[in-house]
Amino acid sequence: MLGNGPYNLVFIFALHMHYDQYEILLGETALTYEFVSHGPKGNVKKVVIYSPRGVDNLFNLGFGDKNEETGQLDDRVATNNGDSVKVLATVASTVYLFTNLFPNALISATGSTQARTRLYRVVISNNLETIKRDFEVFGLLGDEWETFRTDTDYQAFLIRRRKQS
Amino acid sequence: MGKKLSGPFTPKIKGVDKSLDKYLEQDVFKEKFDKMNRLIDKYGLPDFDKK
Repeated sequence: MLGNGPYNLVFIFALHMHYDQYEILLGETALTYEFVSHGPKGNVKKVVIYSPRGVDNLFNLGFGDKNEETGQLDDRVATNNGDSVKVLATVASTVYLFTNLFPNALISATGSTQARTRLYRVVISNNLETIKRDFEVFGLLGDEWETFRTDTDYQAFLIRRRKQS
Repeated sequence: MGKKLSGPFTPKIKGVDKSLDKYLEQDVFKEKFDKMNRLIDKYGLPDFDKK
């Protein structure tokens, strides 16, 4: 995944520059979403799921690639389709859509790997002011949740939509 | 319905496909969801009133 270095800087810069997104399909429940990544590796279906935990109005956010041969979803594969920014912006757009439909939902997320958890932290950090307009963001640091701070290595994240005024 | 969506993350909706909901019946992203559930079980939820 992403490490330190020029590519990471380009990635961060690109996030500030634009938020091009893919068109999304949603399931009838609005708990499932799908879009297609286009790039040098071809057309890759991506699936986003808000899995209800059944208590506390809490949903686990997961997303990954659909293997067209097996039909299985894989959240550890590196697609390398050259469109990470567009993919993450599209996933972010589902968060807005989902919480528009379920405004009291709590959404928890962590990466499938440590590198991806760091990536999510970077993405949140670099868009924090935008995100904070509509969401409260928390990070799990050690054994405590705290209000999200940039440059802090969290092991998980939790967000909820701010109440409408 | 919620408030009107606007801003940099406004979704581009293509349509509804009810077949997508089949994933809810499958054990997808199990490892990650189990990890997240363990963390919530162990550490609970944030104190939303704490500022």
